[in-house]
Amino acid sequence: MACSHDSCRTTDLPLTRRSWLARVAAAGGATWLAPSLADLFVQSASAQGDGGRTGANKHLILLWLAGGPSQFETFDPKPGTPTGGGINIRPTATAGWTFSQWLPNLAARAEQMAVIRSFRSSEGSHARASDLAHFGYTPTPAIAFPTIGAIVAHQLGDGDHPLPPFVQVDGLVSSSGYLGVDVAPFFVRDPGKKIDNLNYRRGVDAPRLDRREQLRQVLEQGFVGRGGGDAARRHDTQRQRARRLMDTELISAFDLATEPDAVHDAYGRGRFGQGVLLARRLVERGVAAVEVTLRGWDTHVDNLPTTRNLCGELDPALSALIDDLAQRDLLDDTLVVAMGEFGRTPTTNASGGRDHWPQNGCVVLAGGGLRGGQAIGATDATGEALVTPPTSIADLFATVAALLGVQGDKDLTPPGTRPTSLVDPLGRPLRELLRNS
Amino acid sequence: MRRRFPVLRSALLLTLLAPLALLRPQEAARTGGNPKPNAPPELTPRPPLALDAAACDALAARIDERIAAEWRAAGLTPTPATDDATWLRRLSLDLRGLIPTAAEVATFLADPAPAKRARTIDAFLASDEFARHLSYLWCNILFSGGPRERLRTEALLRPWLEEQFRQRVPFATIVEGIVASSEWSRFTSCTSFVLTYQDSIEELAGAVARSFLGLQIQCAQCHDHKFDNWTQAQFNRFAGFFLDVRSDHTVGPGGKSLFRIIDHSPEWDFQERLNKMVAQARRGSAANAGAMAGGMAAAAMEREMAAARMDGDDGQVFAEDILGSKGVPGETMAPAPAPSTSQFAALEELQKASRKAKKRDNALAELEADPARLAALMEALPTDARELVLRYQARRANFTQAGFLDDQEWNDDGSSRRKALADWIAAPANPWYGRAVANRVVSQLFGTGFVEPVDDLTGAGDRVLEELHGELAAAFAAQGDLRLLYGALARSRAYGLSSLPPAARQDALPALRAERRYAAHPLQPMTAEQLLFSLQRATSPDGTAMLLPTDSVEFRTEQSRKSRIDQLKGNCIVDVPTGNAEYEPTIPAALFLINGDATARAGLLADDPELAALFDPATPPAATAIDALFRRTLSRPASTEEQAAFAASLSDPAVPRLRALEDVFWALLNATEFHTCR
Repeated sequence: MACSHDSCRTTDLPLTRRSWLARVAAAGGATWLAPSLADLFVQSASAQGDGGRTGANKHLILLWLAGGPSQFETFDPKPGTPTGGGINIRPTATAGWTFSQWLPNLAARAEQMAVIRSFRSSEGSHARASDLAHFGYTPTPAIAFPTIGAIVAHQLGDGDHPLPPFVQVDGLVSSSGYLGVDVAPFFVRDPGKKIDNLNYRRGVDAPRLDRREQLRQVLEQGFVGRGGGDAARRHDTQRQRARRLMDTELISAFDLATEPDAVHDAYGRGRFGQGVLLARRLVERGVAAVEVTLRGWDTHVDNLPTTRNLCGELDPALSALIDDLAQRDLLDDTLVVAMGEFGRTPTTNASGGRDHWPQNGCVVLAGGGLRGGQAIGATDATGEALVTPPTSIADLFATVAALLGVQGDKDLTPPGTRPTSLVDPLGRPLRELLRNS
Repeated sequence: MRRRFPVLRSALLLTLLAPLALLRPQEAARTGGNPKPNAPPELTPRPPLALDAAACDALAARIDERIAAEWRAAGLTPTPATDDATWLRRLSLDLRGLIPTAAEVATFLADPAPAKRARTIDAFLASDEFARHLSYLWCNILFSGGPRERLRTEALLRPWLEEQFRQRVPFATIVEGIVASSEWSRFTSCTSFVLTYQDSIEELAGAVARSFLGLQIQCAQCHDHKFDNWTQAQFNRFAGFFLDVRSDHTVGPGGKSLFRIIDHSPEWDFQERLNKMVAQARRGSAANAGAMAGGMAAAAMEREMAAARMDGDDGQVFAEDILGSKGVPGETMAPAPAPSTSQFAALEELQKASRKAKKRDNALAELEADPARLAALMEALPTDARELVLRYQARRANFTQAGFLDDQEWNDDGSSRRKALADWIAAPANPWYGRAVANRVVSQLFGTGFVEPVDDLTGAGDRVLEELHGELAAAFAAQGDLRLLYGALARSRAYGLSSLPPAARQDALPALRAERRYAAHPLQPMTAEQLLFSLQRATSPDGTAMLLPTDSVEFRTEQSRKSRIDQLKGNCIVDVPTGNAEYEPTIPAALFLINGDATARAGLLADDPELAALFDPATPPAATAIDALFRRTLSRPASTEEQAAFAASLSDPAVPRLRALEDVFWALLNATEFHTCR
């Protein structure tokens, strides 16, 4: 059976790690091993032994719809109007609220979701709007901002957990910016493929790698003696994290083959569906933040067929994710956000496409203990203008922070710059979405 | 299957019509009475430079004198000179971007000539590897802090930079190409810098000031600088040099997309867009030529990039990158919904009132002279036209008047603004250009610049050796060759000092430490580029075996190398005062070093005769093999303790010699010392 959330709670000390420690001890070779590494393994063992779930207690899954999805064919349809695109609608589980016809499974789960229809970006190019939406701040070269995944990993991640606190599937590589390598995204281009360089090489088993490491330590000691102490120590810390990842049983999260066929079918067999399935497995095992990208929403040409195909990937994957998280009692602790950098134009151009429209677009939220079954903000009858105040990216970040319990106003001082808040203090959380307000 | 036909047909149509895309703006310009765009600037021809060794010697003597005086004044005793092997490794990493070969180390050590160091410096400066190394350094400078999507355009600029350095063009030519070029290009080109930042002329201005002038004017974009003396007005005038920047696309021979940066005034842009809105309103959305051209360009580029697509390369986003918002940077125009009759009348009135304006004259002058009429018109216009007017007004108000940062005014004579800026930057009289470049080179060779932070010359940061800084700046600005700075600084006594022993390191306050005044050499982690090329050199003599792809498609190769390098990039924590730095690899970087091809398969390379001989079980003795591997990786012999420990590992009868040697090689390649420039 696949490692479900419950079985994960009771996982004993993974055999590989235990046996490796034993080997080292038996060989009398523990002296070469940096004490911190040995300690860390012991701590890890006791943490798992007492049955507590390790890793983050709350999680963020960002489904990044790269290119800017059309709101008309997804979550803000305008059927029967000149701008509507000629599609049909799907009533949702909530009275008076409709999705596009291409999102039938999500429409049935609207009670667990909220849609912000008043999302407004202040940037109109992909590069800048995408950075804005990931940083929560207007991008500037003066500050290396972390992306939302790194922020959540920094605030909610468990540094002693063997898995990286932030995993990113496909898309543009995120950045942990001034938060440093501890929360740098662990990047997986294709969830169906093996992770680069994770496995022991053929002919190199654990004892041999230990022997190699032992030789390396001879060099490290000499180098420390000649003045290389700090450099060697920082290098070692990250190597230990890498080795821990090689040896942890939790790495099975990446082995999607253990999931039944029906589960693969439910999420979708494409890279995105498989990435969302991976996100669920990572969250189950304590990873704080996962970002999965679905590309292709920049529909300047042939908007309708392209968007329909993409909805065909988004609809089953997000629906299956909501169901699985709920079934595992993880939905209240896991906030799922699906969004792109901006919306698309009310008019259709000569190539049958819709162009960039930062004025309004949609952001979908599910889980994280939010009040579902709500649409926040509204556009007029033809979707050309907002009839409610806009929701800025700073407001969205403040909402995410409030839902996840991230200390958004925490002041940090990135190197060489002025103190900066992790999350823009000018943002105001959408109170309607919070349960206890 | 029938559903596929429309798609196929539109693809064919796009291919056939694509060459027309370029013609449309000019057509529109003629028919709409639109001002003509500026002619592309003529770039200044400058002949290649020869390295002047005597000038390097003279400048080096000056450096020694100034730094010795600084040591005396600060009461510092410099560390002893480092040994030849360490010096050669340091020099090779600093000038060529990779470690020396074992043979180079041996030859250098055996050479008794007193002039061998200067000779080696000049040889390295003349090497192709120097050009490659500098191209990486300057790419990192130019793109630091750019959008995340920049990786693709970065891969376009670097080969161009390498070629310029290889041809020894004056640095001013490089500055001019990057800032002012309008040439058509496919992939490898200087224009990709402006293309990268085109969505925000404010960012573009900030990146140019930071890279070539060492000035942090970016903060003054939003407010007068708190810690510096830059005002928002100065910032806006400086950004005004990029007022006309637009990207342009055409289809060249063989159906390949070509790109360039062209200069169109905001008036041209305003009228062009307005004409399109009117035409669209008149004829319905089918006549939306702008969207048509944009869609075609994107589709054409996407198809091309699909062919070049590979892991780590997102062709589609790349096309978006290049095409950007197809017009005014920082703004995205959308076709409007069909306007009402009153809106249409307002649109026509706006067009009529603005088309009388000549080039660079305020297109709204007639309307602004009558505020009541303008207000009524604005009320009547459709949303997108109203926003067009507001954006045009804001841009005109903020950025029309260009002015240099030394408060020299610039007179708009209709020539290229970008060319005027490039000329001002690289002029010997520019107060910052020479100092910015000299500071970069010093910081690169010594870990710490005369001014820190290195790109904030006028900030509140720390300064040392200001006279020397000025002298190096003047020498460089007059002569125009980066190699003069490298040649002189590498010849200096300070460059040849050893690092501080660990016990001495904590003694002084950071700003008073020996490294800050060049009385000791810092330990610096290799850059990702240095590490990648050094791993390649240590493990594979022909330089291409396994780390770099061998396919010949230039862009793919560059992308693939870039993704390798990015994989190795970790966090570099620099102790700013001393230049000592620590490297933290990311987990993927650590995994690459532990299990990746570069280290795990090292030693199995039968195509390297030297390695094959070492790994042959019959020969040679263990001590010789160990020593050879040390020289190959750390560029030094093994110490007695190291020799003993490693020999013991080779003497285990249970472990075959080949495997034991592989383990030795792995340990050396994974050692922090290997990843460090001492």
